[in-house]
Amino acid sequence: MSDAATPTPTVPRGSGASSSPVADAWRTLRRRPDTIAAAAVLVFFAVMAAFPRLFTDTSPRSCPIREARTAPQGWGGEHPLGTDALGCDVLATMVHGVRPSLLLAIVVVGVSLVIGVTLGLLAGYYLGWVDYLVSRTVEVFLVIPLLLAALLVLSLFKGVDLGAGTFDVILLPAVVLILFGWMPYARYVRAATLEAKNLDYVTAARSLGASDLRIMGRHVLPNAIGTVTALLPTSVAGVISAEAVLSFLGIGVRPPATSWGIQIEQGSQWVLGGSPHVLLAPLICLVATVLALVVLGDALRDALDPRLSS
Amino acid sequence: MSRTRSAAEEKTVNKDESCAPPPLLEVTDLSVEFRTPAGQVRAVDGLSYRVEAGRTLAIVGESGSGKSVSSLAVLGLLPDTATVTAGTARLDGVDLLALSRKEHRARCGDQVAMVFQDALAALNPVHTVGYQLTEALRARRGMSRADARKRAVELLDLVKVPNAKARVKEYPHEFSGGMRQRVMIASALSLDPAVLIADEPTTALDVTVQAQVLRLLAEIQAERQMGLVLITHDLGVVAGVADDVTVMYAGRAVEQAPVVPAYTAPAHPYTRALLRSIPSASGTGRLSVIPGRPPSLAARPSGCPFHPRCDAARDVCRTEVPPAAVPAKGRMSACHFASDIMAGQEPAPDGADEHSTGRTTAAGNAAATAFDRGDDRGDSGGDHG
Repeated sequence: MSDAATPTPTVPRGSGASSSPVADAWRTLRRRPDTIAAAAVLVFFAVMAAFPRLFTDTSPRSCPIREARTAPQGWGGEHPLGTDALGCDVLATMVHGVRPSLLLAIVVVGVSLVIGVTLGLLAGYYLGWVDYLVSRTVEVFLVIPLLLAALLVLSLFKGVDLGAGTFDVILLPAVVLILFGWMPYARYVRAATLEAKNLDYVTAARSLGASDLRIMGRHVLPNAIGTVTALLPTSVAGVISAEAVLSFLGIGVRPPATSWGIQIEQGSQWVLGGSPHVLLAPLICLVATVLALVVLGDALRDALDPRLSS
Repeated sequence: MSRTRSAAEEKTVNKDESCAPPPLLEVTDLSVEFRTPAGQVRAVDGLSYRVEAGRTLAIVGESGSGKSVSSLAVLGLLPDTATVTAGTARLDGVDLLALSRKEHRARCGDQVAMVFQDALAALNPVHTVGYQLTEALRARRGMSRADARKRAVELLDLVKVPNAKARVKEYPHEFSGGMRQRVMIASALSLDPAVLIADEPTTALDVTVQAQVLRLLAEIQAERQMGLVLITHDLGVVAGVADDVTVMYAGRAVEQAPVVPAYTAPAHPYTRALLRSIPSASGTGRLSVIPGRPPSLAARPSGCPFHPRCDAARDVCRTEVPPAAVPAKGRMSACHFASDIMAGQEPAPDGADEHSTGRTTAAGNAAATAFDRGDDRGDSGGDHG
């Protein structure tokens, strides 16, 4: 299941060749304790996403209103992290909110990556009108404020029933975030392609009669993807935060599914009402995940960028 | 890019073929222009040369003299800002420059291949050496993975990389400079090209490794009867390896000759000056240098492009572009005083050659007449001397 594969950024692409740039990057990563800690945090949340029952037996949907806003009772208590304003268990809500949050992040980053890399590669390689088209599109999408456009799109489709499956609940926010998330990849890949396509090894491949497609796929892309690979963890973090913002506005992951964003939104109303834990629990998780991903992104960038690692 | 060839041109080609063994690669009147902010700049201007089976042609020149650009043009590897404005490059009877991109690509690697200067840059850092050696074979000949691996080992053996079997699995950064250049050569040879163009193949190597790589190239060439074009700025390399030499200056061939006569009796002041600036072990006193810098191609000097730096420049050099003179059989020199220079004499001082200036103007620039006139010019030069 793809949920369990959340910390993929720690294991670089490819199937562990013995002495390759990938293996080198892996070796560099392992030596850094902050990287290991960050990876541990991510594995923890990945397991939580895959097997929420390991962490709580309480259903996030049983919300006895008389137990509303119970203070945290510590491990062993009925509500270790207390309950929220409706009496729902904070821990259970949080644990069950991991899956939509992380799934959304992976789907959004994955699809944006494919779109961005393809367009960036084509634009950088062929230049001319292809580049003109792609670059102008990128600019148009960049100048539209994400939040404004997201609000518009989501309100338009708010009434459409999409079902309640694992993917259905994240479909709308995913579409919006992809729509406004592919541009950085396209720009990075375009720039890296421009740089790589004039290098000698590309000319050498062409001198042996390689086709454009082969040059792009086998020679330019593997060398251009490095900067983007390092960008991925930060992007995952960005998507989780963005989803939190969208959920906060009531247009993110669809109820009854929960997400960290929804929880943060509800919790924020009671911070000054004597129940800060309702906000703090999911917030700390979000910050931890984002921080772990950022640390990992940094490490990955250092490991993959030959100018920094040599 | 379609170019129509005139009937006359066709005829001259046929005539050439009847009197000499057909060359593998024949470049005729090649001109390449670059688009720059300062306007069109001509990087290669009317370059012609021929490469025969089993012979090595060295193209020598300073940086920016157009020697690399001319070979990139033959392979269709020019950057987008450059265009071939004139000329043909016949390989096996087909004009490469008139082909569509796709047809041109089909001949690259197969019939003509290139060895690049900086082997580290020319090998892709993310692929193993074995992969790069056989990528072309697998993609274009449909070779299976197992056969390709076997072939990669053979190719590495061919270029004398020790322990080839283990080393095909390694990455370019795990190879030393000389070994990388061998890999580069092996990959250029993977499709058995008839002509190999080596663009400064030894510049990035130290002298001992340089000698090994050159010897290897010469051996492979002799074995396969390949035509080899060696682009270099190192006259020592030329003397050791080449059969013929083309000296380029500011985008033009200024002298073309077999190596030995070119070295013993250069027919162009530029060649002469280059040879004088080679340090010699027995030499005493200051090393002779060529004053000034190569001209900017955007602001080419009038007349002979070399005249501002030439020690034998006369008035005519400042105004008249020298035609291609033939001071001796099989030689070409783009100098008004080719015969004088070849004979080791200085051309007559300015006052004495007024009539010859007039004649040069009358003769015009057409290549055929230029060749004939070159002989006259030589005679009259002799009279003055």
